[in-house]
Amino acid sequence: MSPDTDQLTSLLTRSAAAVEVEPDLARVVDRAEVVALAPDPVGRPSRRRLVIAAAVATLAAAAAALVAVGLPPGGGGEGTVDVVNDPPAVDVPEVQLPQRYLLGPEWAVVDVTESTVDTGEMRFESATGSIELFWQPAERHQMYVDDRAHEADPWTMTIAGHEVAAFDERGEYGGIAALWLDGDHSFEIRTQSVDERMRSRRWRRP
Amino acid sequence: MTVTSGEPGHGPTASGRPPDETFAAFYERELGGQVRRAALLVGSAEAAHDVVHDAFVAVYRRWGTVREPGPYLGRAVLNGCRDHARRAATGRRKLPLLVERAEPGDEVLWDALSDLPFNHRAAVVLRFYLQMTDREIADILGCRPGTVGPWIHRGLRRLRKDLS
Repeated sequence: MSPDTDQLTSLLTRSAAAVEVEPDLARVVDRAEVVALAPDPVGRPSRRRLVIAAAVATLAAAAAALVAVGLPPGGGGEGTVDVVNDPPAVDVPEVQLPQRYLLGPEWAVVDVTESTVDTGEMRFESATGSIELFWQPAERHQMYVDDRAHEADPWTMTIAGHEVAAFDERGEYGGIAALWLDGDHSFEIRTQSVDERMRSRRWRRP
Repeated sequence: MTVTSGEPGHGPTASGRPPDETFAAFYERELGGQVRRAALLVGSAEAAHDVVHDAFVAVYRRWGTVREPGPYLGRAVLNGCRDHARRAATGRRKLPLLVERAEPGDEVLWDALSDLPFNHRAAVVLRFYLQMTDREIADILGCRPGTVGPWIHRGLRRLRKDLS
């Protein structure tokens, strides 16, 4: 392990050792007998669902464009995507199952995690690959762009009306990352499924 | 309901149920490891106890039907920690450092760890505290093994950046 992971392991081990464990089996037994199942909440759709729906709408168009045009060999520079196939029309009502709108019926949402009301991630998979979508508060956008710039030279392009900063990250966990701002949120899509065929095909830079 | 005392188990990690193991023995075997792991994720021994005991309640109510209570408990604890982190994040609270005698760099590292998205933080804790494999981490976090590596990679990259 590198020095920083050694430090991490040391901190986690010391922190865990500092936790006193007090068995209280009666608490389990007592609560198991009195806890009633709460009904599922009903009412207005949550803000989380609305954020996800908005994110999926943008993702669908952006991911479709990425898949349609491929990406530039080596990245770098600045350009405009010459979309070969128009992205599919996206029409997302406020609350709806999102997988209907992602690229086609072969794509499915396999994981959704919301860390906070403004932060979350979704993972989409198909037989040909996977895409991860992350959303964060807009004020963190530049921090993430700068962070990705440590891994690869960025180039910019326009997808679905948004200026996107894209990175072609190499290495074990490399892949394509694309970040853009939309309203109060910073969005990032990442995929490791973009193979060399996608890196080389149908990309024209002005 | 009567709970009979059982023999202490072996090992701190979640596992399947040995034949004839009583719930009390299961509780005694799993409690320490689960509470300590949860404390690393929620930053409080008290909150960790709450989360873990809620998970034990869920296992207890299904004791007769759950074939592998260890993994079931582990996932329930992780879900409870995720819910707790969500509530804590809404209030913009950072995890308090658990160690009383901190070493240089501990607070910076701990703050950086607490800023990670929950899944990244959990993957890092499970890897570097419990030395779990990608597959074991994926099972407990409910994701694919291929997802774990990038989560850890991104978590470490963020930690390194904050430490530098």
